[in-house]
Amino acid sequence: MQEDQILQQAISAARAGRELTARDLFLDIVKANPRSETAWMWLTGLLDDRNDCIQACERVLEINPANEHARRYLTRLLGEKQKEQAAEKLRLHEQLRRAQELIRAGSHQEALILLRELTREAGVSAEAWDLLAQIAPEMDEKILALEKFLELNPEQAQAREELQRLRHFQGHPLDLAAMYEEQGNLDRAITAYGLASMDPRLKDQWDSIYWKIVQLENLRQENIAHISPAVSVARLAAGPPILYLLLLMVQVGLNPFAEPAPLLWLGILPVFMGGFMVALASIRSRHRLWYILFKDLGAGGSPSARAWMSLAGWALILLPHAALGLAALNRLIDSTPQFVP
Amino acid sequence: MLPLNDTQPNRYNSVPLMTICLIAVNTFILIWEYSLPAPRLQRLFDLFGSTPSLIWNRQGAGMLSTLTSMFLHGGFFHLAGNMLFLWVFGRRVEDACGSMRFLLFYLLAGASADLMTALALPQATLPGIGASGAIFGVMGAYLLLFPGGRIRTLWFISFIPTWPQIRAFWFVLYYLIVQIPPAYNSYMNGVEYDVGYWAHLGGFFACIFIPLFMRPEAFARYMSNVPV
Repeated sequence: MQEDQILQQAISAARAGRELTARDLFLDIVKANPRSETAWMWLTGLLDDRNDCIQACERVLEINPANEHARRYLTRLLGEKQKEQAAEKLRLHEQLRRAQELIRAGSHQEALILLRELTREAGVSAEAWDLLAQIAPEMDEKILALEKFLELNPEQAQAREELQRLRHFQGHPLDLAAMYEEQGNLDRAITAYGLASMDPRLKDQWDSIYWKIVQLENLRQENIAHISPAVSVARLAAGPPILYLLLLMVQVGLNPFAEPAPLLWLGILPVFMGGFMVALASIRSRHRLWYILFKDLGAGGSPSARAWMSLAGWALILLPHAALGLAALNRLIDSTPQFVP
Repeated sequence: MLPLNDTQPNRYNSVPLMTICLIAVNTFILIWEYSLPAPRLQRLFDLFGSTPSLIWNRQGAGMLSTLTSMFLHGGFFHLAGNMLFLWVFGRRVEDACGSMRFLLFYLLAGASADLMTALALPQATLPGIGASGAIFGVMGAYLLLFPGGRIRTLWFISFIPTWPQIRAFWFVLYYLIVQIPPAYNSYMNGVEYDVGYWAHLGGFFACIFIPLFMRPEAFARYMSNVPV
């Protein structure tokens, strides 16, 4: 059959209301002759999907840029599409806002359901993936959410680091358990330690894992309050500087202005820093310093990293004390003619 | 009234390593002191004991004397008494802190004892020696951490020894109260005692810093009003 005949047949079918037959015929025509303006024009009205209609209009205008009817229709379709997209964006935004509100109100489970629905839809913002990564209970879901977030926001270094850390936890169950413990999530920590005890690689640590589980179960039973690691670090870091300050007060005769010794006073800074490092090393706390210094992704650094941190901290604490001791000894020798007792 | 032992077990570490080390170091130093002739021993106390008037005049060994005086004792009974108290009260305080932090707290209590003596008796010329200031700090810490603890105490009622278990609260309170009259007397009338009452009060005052040295779990228990 000739193209014209098929065209006539298709037009008749369209006019008779047999849209599916007409559409198939027009599609056959544009397949055989992609430059058939009439067929493309008819298709703009017969296709179901708006995007396909837009494409058909564009084809018509490619073939005949002077086709005003196609241009007007394309403008209308694009306007409708834009309006729909804006409405969709608003809806997603509203849902995201609601999820944020739920998280703030502590309704994590509801927020989780909402975010899971939200992230199933196309065009969802990176923020939704970020929120899902924050509250998702399962490691796999967290990782997936972070991967999606990074696809949309590849320049987010912190998220990339977090993703690396989560992948690290997949291979290091003890670190994962320690992270839950640090967060005060005792149920998850106990489960994670339990799972870690089944890992054949950790067979030699079975005893310590067992005691850890017993300890956490006791804490849960006795309803012990969770103290955040930041508070613990701040608390433990404050002890050494106070000791240094008291010793310094004795050294300067309880009068800081009588005998200016700025270096000895400045010594409080390394003591404070040392106290902070020792405190950080003594509790399993997730801190950026572990990553910066040791590229350590676990919660609270590896045992060797913690040993180094502790050692450096003690050195920082002891050095100013040693300087203070030397100043005291020097004064004793100077003021005592026969020093040897 | 002498403490014999604390009847409660340790929670974290069964061996109070630092308490034992402190007792050992103090004992070794006393043995060394015994090997010195009397004039040299007196000179040792003068140089390395803590003398308030020297502190105020910025003379002598300054902060070094604060540390050294804590490890010097005047004789066997001085040492034995102090070490008995350190053993009874230090064991569980160390358990709640961990060894190194316990040592820091012990030194801090000693420094606080020295400062208090210097503040209260600035003219005092007798060198202060002994670990009692630091040990009072440990007793205060014990009172804060284990107020319900029971101390088996040796008592003589008409020369008959008994050893009841006394609540730590009453025991420490007793020892605190008996420090106050002589401390007041020395402050108001300038009486110089052989015992550093102000050092005891100063050391006790340092117990307010114990939360800065407790291990995280012990601190969480303390904050939850659960026995540490």
